Amino acid sequence: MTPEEQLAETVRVEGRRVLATLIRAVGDMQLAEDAVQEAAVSALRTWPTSGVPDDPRAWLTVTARNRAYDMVRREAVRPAKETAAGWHQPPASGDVAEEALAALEPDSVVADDMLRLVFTCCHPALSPEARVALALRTLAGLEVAAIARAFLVTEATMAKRLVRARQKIATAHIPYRVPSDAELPERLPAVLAVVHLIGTEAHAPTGGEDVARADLEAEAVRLARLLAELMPGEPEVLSLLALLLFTAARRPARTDAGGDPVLLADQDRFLWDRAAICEASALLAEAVRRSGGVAGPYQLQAHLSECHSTSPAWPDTDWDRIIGLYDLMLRISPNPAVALNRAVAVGERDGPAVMLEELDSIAAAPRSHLWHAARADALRRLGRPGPARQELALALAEAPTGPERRLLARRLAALSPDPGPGYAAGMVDTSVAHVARVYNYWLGGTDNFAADREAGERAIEAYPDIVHSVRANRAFLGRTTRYLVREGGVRQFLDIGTGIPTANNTHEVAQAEAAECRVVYVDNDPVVLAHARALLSSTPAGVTAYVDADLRDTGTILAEAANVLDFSRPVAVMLMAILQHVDNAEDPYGIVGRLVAAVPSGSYLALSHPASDIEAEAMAEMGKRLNQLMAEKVTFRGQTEVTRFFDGLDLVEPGMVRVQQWRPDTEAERTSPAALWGGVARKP
Amino acid sequence: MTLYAALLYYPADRDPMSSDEPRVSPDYREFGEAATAAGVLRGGEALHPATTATTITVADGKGGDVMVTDGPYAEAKETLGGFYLIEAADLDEATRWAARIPAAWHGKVELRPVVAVPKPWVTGG
Repeated sequence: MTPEEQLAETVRVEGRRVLATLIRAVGDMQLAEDAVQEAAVSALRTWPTSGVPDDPRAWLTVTARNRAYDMVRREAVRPAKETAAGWHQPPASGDVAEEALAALEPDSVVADDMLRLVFTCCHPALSPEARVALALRTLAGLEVAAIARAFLVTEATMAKRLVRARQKIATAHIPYRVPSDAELPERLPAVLAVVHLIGTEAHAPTGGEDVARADLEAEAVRLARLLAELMPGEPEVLSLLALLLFTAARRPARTDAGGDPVLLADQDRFLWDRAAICEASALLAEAVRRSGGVAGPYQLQAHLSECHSTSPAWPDTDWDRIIGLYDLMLRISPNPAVALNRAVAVGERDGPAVMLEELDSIAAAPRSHLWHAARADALRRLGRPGPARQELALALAEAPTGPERRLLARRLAALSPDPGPGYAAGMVDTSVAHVARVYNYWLGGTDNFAADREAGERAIEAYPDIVHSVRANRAFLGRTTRYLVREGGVRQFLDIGTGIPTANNTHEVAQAEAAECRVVYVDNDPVVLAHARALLSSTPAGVTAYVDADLRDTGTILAEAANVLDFSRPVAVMLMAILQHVDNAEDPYGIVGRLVAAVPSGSYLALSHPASDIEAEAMAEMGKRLNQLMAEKVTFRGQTEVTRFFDGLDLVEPGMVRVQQWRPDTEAERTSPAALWGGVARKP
Repeated sequence: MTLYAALLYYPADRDPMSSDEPRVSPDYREFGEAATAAGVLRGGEALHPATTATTITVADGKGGDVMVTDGPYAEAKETLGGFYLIEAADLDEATRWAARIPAAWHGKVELRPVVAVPKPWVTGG
């Protein structure tokens, strides 16, 4: 630690204790917080030149009290507080050091005040978010900006959360006191949960790019140490501290050189912090001695963590003991996350088939990405790469953080049999926006990642009506499909650029009109395909099939589709908002020509295309932004260029028009803003 | 001391006042007696069921058209069935009393600190 850091640390630690006492004295958390903040700023400004006082806490106490007094006097509307604080006389402005000695509370009183602060900040009448925010701000003295960063919200949002929490404490009169011994069993878990929550967020962030957050982890340990100091010998406090230390000890081994997560099984155990593990083991032993044979939930978790921490290598892990501990935890409180971990441990002991049974017996929905990933692992070990890929893609679609997604994408790539063109491992890179997921975001879906949402939002800024456009395009898909079945007599569909399934997918519309309709979907995004396989199911009479292929690879598309479709009978080729991803150098007209050439007379081409000549300026700006952020580039086209795709075909009424004007069912559909051209044409 | 309103919410089908013969149950009488004896009860009323409610709003603010609709403001599974005014040292004490109100056993009791404003209709004191 540099002298500056040492100084800041002193101000922070002592400042919290001063605050705890000042809150009791003035009975106003916000006022006390502001006063201590000003005192801290003043200390950091003056101490580097004047030197750190002999008793920093005394100095801060007096300074903060004077500040608080000034504030109360300034707001003369609050005489009650002045009286409450016993400040009928302003404190002498003279010798701070002398006065400080008189003002200093004995350590035991300060400890009681800290404990009051702990129980007030973690009061169950506050929301968990507010408790965590208060614990980090008020108990740990972390800056608001740092807390906001840790929880991925803006500083203003976090500041507001803190103000609201303090207002609730004040107006609802949440008491500033330590619960009685009788109340403690009820109140202590709420306090421990706050610290545990901070530790969990540090260990496994629920968002963002970090595998773990060292700074937040340090705060959790710091808070747990504070609790252990304030409530000596409390077994669950000791267990929680032990648990946090076991976890923190592994941090150096949890990230590889590229910043990606390394799973427990693969970690280099020589990188673990042995000193921290020893301290944690000693704390846990103490907790066991004091708990009188009744292990609380944190003690069980700490035992579990110790079991891993003291095992020389993954294969040496004592799985019997681990599974036994999970059984105990599940008996105390059934919890799908614990059941999942138990299933994984069972898989290590009894093999993947048993693991799969265990996983499938976990009833709770929704399935988390971890459940899908575990299931994928069991399937892979059982030699079933196909279903394993499907599970991995589902896990990938739900994994909340960048590092987790990269790990899953790597596993998926390792399982992919033949990464062909357009299906390279890079396509699963969720750090880059992908067209299907951006489209899903515009439609209000949840199958998208931060990069997709970012690209989607930037596009919306440029062209707000894009959200209407994508809906109008879906509506156009529905109307053209119905038209093709009803009036075109078509029973076979080749839908290229499926997108992530949503309501009214092509096969649903077609098979509702005529159950025997056969639909082949084509897409190049493994995430889309996994969804399609999992979610799209056919009527018994009809057939729905999926092809992994890129639009440009017409040879593969036609060969695979021929397994399902009879190319001697009419086929509708559907190209909905997909050709904009083929630029002119890649011969979009040739691609459409080859597809149309493969289908017989009486077949149809249904096509929509984002327009460069409707809302031209906004569309151009949106296109520019999407091209900066998306892996696949876009080329918007004008009415003449889009009409060219229908060359040699007979456009059906009303011809090539804005999609919303193509046989709209309702007035709302007709007038919806949408910058896409669309049409349906019959092959003569 | 802080004054709290304890708002009593019942599942819509379990409102005690919706029975054919509304009456104060022994559980409520017991709570009322205990809270009065402890000096925390400052008032309270039971309400007829939500089916008797009328909701009024004035369109465009003060002086605008009075809009009257049948039913409670918010259609919900749980309806407001009554309230108590409880005076307690702090939220913990108020919570202990709230847990003794029978509505909390089947439905929910919401505690809200009361704003201290002068009440023109209260004379004397």
